[in-house]
Amino acid sequence: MSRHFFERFCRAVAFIAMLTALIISWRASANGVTNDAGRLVVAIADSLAVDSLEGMPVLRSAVVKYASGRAEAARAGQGGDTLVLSLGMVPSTPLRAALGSVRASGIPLVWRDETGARGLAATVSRAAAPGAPIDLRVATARGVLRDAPGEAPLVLRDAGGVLDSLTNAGDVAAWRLGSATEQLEVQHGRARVRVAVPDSTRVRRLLVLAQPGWEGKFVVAALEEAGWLVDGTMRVSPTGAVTIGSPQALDTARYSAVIVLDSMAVDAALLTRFVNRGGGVVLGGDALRIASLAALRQGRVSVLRGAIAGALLTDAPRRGLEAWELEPTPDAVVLETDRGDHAHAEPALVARRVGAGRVIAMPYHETWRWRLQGTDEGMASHRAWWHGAVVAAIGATVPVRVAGVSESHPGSGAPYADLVARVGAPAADSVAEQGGSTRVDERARGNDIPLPLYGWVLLGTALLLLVAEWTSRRLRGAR
Amino acid sequence: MSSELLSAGQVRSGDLLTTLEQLRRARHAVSVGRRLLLTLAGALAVFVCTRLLLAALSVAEPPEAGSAAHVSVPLLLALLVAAGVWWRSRSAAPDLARTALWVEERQAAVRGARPDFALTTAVEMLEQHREVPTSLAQVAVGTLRASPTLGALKTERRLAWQWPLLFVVVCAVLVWRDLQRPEVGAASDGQSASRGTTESTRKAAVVAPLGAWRVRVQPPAYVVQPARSFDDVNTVPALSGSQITVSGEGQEPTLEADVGDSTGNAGASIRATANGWLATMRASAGVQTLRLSRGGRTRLLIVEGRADSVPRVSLDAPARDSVFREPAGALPLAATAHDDLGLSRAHFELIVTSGEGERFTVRTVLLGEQRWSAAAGNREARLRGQLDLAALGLQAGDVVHLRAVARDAHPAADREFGSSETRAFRIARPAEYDSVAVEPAPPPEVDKSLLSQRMLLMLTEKLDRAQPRMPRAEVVRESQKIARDQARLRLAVGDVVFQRLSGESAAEHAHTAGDGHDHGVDLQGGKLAMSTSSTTGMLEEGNDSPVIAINQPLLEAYNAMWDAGRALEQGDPHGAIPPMKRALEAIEKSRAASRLYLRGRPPQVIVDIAKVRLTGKDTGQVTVRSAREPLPTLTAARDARLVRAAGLVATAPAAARDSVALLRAESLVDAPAFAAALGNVLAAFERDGDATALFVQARRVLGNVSRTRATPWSRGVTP
Amino acid sequence: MSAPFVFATAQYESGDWDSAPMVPANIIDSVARYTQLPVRPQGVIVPLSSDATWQYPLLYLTGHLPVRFTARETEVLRKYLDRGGLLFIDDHNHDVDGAFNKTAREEIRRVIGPLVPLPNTHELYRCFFVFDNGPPTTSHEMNGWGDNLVHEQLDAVVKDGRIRVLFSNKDYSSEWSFHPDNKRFLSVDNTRFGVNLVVYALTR
Repeated sequence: MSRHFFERFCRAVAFIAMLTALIISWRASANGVTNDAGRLVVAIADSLAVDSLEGMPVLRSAVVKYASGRAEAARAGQGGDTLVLSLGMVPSTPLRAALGSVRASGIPLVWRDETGARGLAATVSRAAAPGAPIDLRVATARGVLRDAPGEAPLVLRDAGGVLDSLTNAGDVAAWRLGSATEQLEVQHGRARVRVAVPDSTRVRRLLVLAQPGWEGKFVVAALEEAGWLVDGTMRVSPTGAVTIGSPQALDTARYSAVIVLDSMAVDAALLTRFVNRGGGVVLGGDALRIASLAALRQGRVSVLRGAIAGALLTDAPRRGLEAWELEPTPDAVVLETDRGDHAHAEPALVARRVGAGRVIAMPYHETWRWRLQGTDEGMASHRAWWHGAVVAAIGATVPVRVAGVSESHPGSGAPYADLVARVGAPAADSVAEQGGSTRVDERARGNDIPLPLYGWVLLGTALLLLVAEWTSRRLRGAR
Repeated sequence: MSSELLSAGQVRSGDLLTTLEQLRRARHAVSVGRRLLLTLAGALAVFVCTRLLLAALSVAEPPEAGSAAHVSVPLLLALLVAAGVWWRSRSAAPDLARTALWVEERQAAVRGARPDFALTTAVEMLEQHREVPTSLAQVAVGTLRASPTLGALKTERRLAWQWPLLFVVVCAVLVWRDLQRPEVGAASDGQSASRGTTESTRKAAVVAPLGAWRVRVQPPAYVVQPARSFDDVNTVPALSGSQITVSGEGQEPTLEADVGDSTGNAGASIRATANGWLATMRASAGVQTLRLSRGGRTRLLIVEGRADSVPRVSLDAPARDSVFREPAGALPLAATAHDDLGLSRAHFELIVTSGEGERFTVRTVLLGEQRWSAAAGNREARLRGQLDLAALGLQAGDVVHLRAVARDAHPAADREFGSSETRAFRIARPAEYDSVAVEPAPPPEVDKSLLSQRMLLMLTEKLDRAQPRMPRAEVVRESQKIARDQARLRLAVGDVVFQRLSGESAAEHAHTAGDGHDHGVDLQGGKLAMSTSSTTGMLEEGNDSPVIAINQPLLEAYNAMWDAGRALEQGDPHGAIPPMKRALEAIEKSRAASRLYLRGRPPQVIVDIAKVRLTGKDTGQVTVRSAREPLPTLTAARDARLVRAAGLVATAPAAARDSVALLRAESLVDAPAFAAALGNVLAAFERDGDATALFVQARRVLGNVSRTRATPWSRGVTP
Repeated sequence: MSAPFVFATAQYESGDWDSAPMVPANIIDSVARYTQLPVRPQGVIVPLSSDATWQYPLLYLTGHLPVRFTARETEVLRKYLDRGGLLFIDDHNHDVDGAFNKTAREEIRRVIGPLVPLPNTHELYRCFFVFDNGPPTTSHEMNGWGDNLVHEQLDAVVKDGRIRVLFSNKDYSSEWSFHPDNKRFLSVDNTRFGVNLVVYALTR
């Protein structure tokens, strides 16, 4: 009696296993749905992390299915299919490249934007200055996509943790970092950008054109204390001069910037050539009155504005210095302003591009007083001010040409923009909805055993059970 | 009945059987012995082989001797095999018939003939209780007697038992020794031990990691303070020169001492004591770290040394400098001294300078000395004294500089002492009182003329207000008095404004308008222009050097005073007021512009730059300036270290805490805000709280990250 | 042109700070004679206790009487020297046992640190004129005035490679106390070292 029961049991279980295997294999093949309109919709939902390759197999299988579907459609005489993607998160760099190449291969690709991400782009450059400060600029595009309610903060972090966090950042935020780990990450809501910090490059020297005096002495001192190597000559008498460093011919290979401090005779042609080739020039104080440098200057210089007595000891020390009134030209950028009289901001540092180089104008007269007559922090502030002015004048890291590779896409610094550049702008909802798509949510699959494997297991089990049942029967003697 | 069938003189069947029985037993014993031998041999062989096999399989981890697996498994196997062998080698016990057969075969083998089986038959018949024929019995007995079986059997038995016994004993001894030895598989036949650790290294590998310690701080001898003990701290404050001893239990750890601020040899040393170990070092004035490591654990002790500060002294009385007409009288002196640890002595110090011009003599006098013992530990003291001017033997023109000085108990020879401000007292010269006394302290500046001008203005205004009520003559008289004062003041200003190149002092005489002197400076109605054409303004000295005006605001004041003076002399106080106000303003302006020296002897020489420019014979050479060293920037390095320490928090919190403590100690001097932020991190560690936010804060305080203004310019500029 | 150089004499409370009134004019004259540096024809006097000290990064201090700085003067001088000013002190007594030398050294030690001898190979002696043997000897030294010593070296407090305080026992105050016009009578101008000092201050 138990024998019969055993055989019946085997038969039943084998039958169930085979049925299940059949169902599973049928469902696996239903990953893509071909609908009437001949579109293949692939939904890549939130389970795909930004930095992983999990989407690749899905994409691969979708493209394969698409290709076969297209072949059928061609046989059936239907029109071309469109591959429609629905992206829940901005895909990672390799996935973006894959999508770009899919599109480039001629397969029409349309994608639906469900990332909810804001446009975010970051650039990093490293000044060729002592200490190699890192300049980071982050631009956000608000209002372009569906905005999440509430303004998320702009968070800057590196491998060591959060560096800074800004709320109400505006469209552009900028930082200067003394040092950071190799990767910087900026996060704004759900958008995240990673940039690699470039290596520091060789720091070139500075040339100072000044006459012997307190301004020349203390500006050179401040720059040397900040870490610069300074060259120059100060003429004391017809036969006597003081040589600073080892001045050589003005060349962009040796000098990154020239600092002119006094109203003196300079070789304007040489200086102009230097600037046009990428060097920087800082015109400080009376140097703005040199007539031969009018072409480089940021604007007209009119009168000398008097100093406010005692201001050197306040939190706006530059108002305690005499300054030339500068009217910037339209193409000049005012980098720093000081509070002037009548709520009128006076330009403190004005920059202008000339050729490949930059010219910085600093209209303050006798800035050494800031160091000697200011507060206890005046010395450090004066040094930092001059250092900042010089860094603003010099170029960024020298670009290295890599033959053959021309990257015309924004790259990982701006992932959303990169996606749009490669794949095109996201489609409006109506276009994608036409297909009556069926979304397959892969989230349920998670980390389970890959689908097809279940079928094989079940099939094997069924086989074994049938064999066992047959053996039992034969042993019993029945046929 | 069989026994009766045998004839007399022959062995009875009972004897036959008995003998055979004995033989049978002996033979049985021999076979048992052989079986035993076989079993034992098999078992031992299996045991040894299994142990060798197991040792070869587990060569990676040499097991301890006598481990369960390596004994029980072979033993089990051996027993199994023994049981199998015993079972297989069983055989039926020999019965009498077979024994008889054996005897006969033995006999036959000795005689070299076939056995005749008489004995066997007889025994079988006897066993079946049948009658044995006499002839058979005789032959049987004969056979039995003839074979020297018993003796041989005995020998055989002995041999059979002897060798196996010996073999077993030897094997057992070897096996026992093998089990006792720590090596595996080295047992039998004296094979040498091949690999494995020795007894001593097994014991040495266990070193206890560094545990808690006790710190004791003994202040230097001159500070009479008791020693302090701390239990297991990581930071200890100490006075410079204190002796720090760290003691703990166990083995002596290795020592590294870092002198954070190298003011000399730390002189740290460590030695083992009866109870453990003892490390000693001497604290300096800065931060030092002591690193001890043992058993894979390193601990840091940070010694925050502080220097013994110099006493602070303030001179309470006398309160200001003074001039004495005569060296007589007594000045009360009072001073207060404070020290952080204890004063040792204090006194007033006087420096008396006599002489004039280029010849001066100096002597030093000490007054009112007080001493205290170090044990008293006086932190505050008041000094009192009396300065008797007559006793000092002062002369006219001498200057006395007075200050209070205090020393603390620090034993160094070149130790700094604390001193107060200095008061200066001068004995006036008799000649000074004949004319306007000139104070030796800061000269009266323009302020004095300012005050005078203001006073004159006030007088004039008062006169102007009173004018309607006064008779005209009186008004004129008063107004001319004011005019004289104004002129005096004007000339004082004029002396400054108009300089001569002669190098001789201007005559300090006050001239007024109507005093009869020829004022060469009176030109163009009294107003002087800044022109070199005024060389015709000669003074009575008759020198021919030109007069040049150098101070524009004072020139204006001069001119205004001139106008005012003229108006006053004409008896018009009302008309004099506006120019007086102008003069006042001009003087104030010149006061703000630069400090002027309006003392009795103004600087006399003004250099004519244009005339002497580059007229020297020599104009110097080209020289090279030495460059300034850049200031060290530790920010980036500290940031990297902080990031590494933060990364260690999850895996090795003790190491992270030590790294942070070390970083804090190093930045106490030049980055106190950063050190304070790190102190917060350490406090969070103590509380076992989450230090993540504090790490971020410390990073920000370091100043590595600064927000710049996002201008269209590609380079940020820090505001 | 850069702003003109102004020679500043330090005025301190405790002694005769004005004992050498001719020195400023003499130095100004020499600077004009040998260099093309713009210079103001007259020097100024700056009280050490006032903030005006910081407007003149080169200060000259001399005297015969003991030097004792008040608390305010100490504070001002310390900041002045930390921020980059240069103080030149000359002992008008020319006497190492004299009150000025001893007290001035002590005061400087309290303000910034001890004075150490300045090697005669320092760039101060080569920055405009070359003085191979270090500081030039003064006639007062040669005449055996004061302490009867000829001082071979000047003393200085040097920090970060720059002289902060230069101390002279050689009595340059007396040496330079004459009318500049009388230079024409000298075969060797003994004020040239003053020019070195000014050039050092203006360019280093």
